[in-house]
Amino acid sequence: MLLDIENLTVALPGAETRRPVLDEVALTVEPGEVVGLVGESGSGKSTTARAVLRLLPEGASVRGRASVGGTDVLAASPAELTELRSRRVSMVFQDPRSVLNPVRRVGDFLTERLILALGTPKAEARAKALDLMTEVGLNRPEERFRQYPHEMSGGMLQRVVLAAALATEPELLLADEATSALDATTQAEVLSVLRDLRESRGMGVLFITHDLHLAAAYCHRVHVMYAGRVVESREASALFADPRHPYTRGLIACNPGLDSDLAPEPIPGSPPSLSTAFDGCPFAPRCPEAIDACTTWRPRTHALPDGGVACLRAEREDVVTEAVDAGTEGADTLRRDEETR
Amino acid sequence: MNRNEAALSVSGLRRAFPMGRGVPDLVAVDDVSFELAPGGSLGVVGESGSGKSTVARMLVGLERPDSGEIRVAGRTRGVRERGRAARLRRAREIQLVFQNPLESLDRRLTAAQCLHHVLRLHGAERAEADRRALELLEQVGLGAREAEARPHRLSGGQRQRLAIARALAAGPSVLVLDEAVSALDVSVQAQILRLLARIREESGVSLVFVSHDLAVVGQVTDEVLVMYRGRAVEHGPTRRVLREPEHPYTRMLASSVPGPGWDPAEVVRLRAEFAATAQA
Ligand SMILES: Nc1ncnc2c1ncn2[C@@H]1O[C@H](COP(=O)(O)OP(=O)(O)OP(=O)(O)O)[C@@H](O)[C@H]1O
Ligand SMILES: Nc1ncnc2c1ncn2[C@@H]1O[C@H](COP(=O)(O)OP(=O)(O)O)[C@@H](O)[C@H]1O
Ligand code: SF4
Ligand SMILES: [Mg+2]
Ligand SMILES: [Mg+2]
Repeated sequence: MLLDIENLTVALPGAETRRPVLDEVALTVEPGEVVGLVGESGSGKSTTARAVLRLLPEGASVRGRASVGGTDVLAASPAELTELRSRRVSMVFQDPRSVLNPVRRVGDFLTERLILALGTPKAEARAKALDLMTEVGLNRPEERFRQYPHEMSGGMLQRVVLAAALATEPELLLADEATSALDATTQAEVLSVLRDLRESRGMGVLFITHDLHLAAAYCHRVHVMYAGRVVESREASALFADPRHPYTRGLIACNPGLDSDLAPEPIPGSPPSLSTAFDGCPFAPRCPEAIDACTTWRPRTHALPDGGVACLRAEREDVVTEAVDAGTEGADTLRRDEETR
Repeated sequence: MNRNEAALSVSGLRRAFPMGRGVPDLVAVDDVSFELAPGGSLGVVGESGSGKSTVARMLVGLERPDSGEIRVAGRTRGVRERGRAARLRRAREIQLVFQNPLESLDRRLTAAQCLHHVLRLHGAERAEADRRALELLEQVGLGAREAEARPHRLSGGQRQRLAIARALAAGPSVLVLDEAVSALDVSVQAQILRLLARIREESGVSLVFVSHDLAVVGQVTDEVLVMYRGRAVEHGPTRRVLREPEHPYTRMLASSVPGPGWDPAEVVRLRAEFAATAQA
């Protein structure tokens, strides 16, 4: 296991805070695997990524476990942490301009990273940087090397940032909305490059996006987050074919996709802030399928053959289906029980 | 207005930007023409830099066309009209909503004040402006609490609702939206798209919906114009154009939308193929 997050619970300080920002989050990434993390804004995706590098706000309380390639992140020594942050794990964000210094040439940005993080001798750094630029698909690297950020498009800049992220040959890449600001064509170009590099290097990727269609199409497995919890974890192909959590179905209905004739159907209400606490399922106030028991049900993850789902009704339906499939006595009773609810 | 008359009619629109000594001008928009029926909805799509926003900016008068004509309800939009009356009339013809409403909303005014201000500007009496402001707030789904809030206290979706209400306050016959839902969460995006469909139905306003998101354009427009390097390469009914694209560029754009069977390497291949034929 490359990335292993187990029951990670993070609470931020503050008088207004009534619930943890991450609540028993569990997810894994194998070497060479791309794992998607989707959900509306505020669901805790970025906080999960930052927790992997222990980049949490001052005063945050943390329970649970997170490990990268066997290193326990939460118990890591300062030296191990530096090693993780500067070499073993790289992070790419949505806005490349926030990372690049506008008055410095992009080539210097790359060589500097090589010199600082890897101790590459200055003389070699330039050649290595040019190689990296070629690797991420920047044509005429010699020319680009001398350009300033404002002379490049968003897509090209994101490739520069990607080149810098890959310079240290990290085991794990945390891509936080890394292509969200790009148009679909440019996004496909950057992701095509990333797919090749990931395959050739066996690097794992935690791919954060709010685009469920993209996550399903690009990732091996996808975790859906809501209010700091992972509510559904599935093989990517099952996500659209057979979504099990009402929230996942809600996200799909918001954007039925290019081939659908359905009109977009918003999820009622809005996601809860950190000042809202829950006794039951956090999605209950917005869930079109909620039953009374949902408001007191303590969320837990029910295992599915290809992942898991944290929904009372999904769990019951699954139990009934299994019982019927197995011809278990009592399946009828269970089903009747379910139908009368 | 003549019943068969287009709400908006654009012909031969062109705009080039000088690139400095020795460098040829950059032709951002080149010979673009289209018509929009009253209550109709036209999408303008294309990759980044294809000229979509430049078209939008020329429609509202933020950018001056080098040549071409823009007619609203049969009346040519002059570029050199001066004076308050002419300015207000132009505003009533076409209104623009941007991607980031924070930049275009006055930070000092509450939502209700903002609408009141625009309504007064367009000649409403005080009492009438108050009444209409409330009506508009309700139409875009903002409640009493939001009415008294200033823009920075509103969520992204609420701000975009306010920006739409403010645009509607001028009573335009055409609303131009430039990436107006691109920065919003999917659920908020769906809410705004639904709002736009309802407003179009209720008020008969025509929409020009500029976006690089083909799926969203597919959901709110009847017709679509596909732009590549400033030129319209395909134009037709949205469903047909997005599902059975005729132009290789549109095909490439459609293939780049993530969905079943999406393969980024295939997009790269189609793009290279298209670029090669476009150069030739
Ligand atoms: N004021 C300007 N001066 C110089 N060039 C400009 C100016 N405005 C636009 N351009 C250029 O015109 C072309 C079209 O730009 P435009 O903003 O219309 O594209 P767009 O299709 O809206 O792209 P995006 O999807 O990135 O918003 C681009 O090459 C752009 O750099
Ligand atoms: N440093 C912080 N201080 C206070 N609140 C924070 C901080 N970081 C994140 N939050 C809050 O935590 C929640 C989750 O945020 P985030 O992880 O950024 O979500 P996402 O990336 O899914 O949009 C949000 O309610 C956000 O406002
Ligand atoms: S537990 Fe209940 S409220 Fe929560 S998602 Fe499932 S059905 Fe909806
Ligand atoms: Mg985030
Ligand atoms: Mg634009």
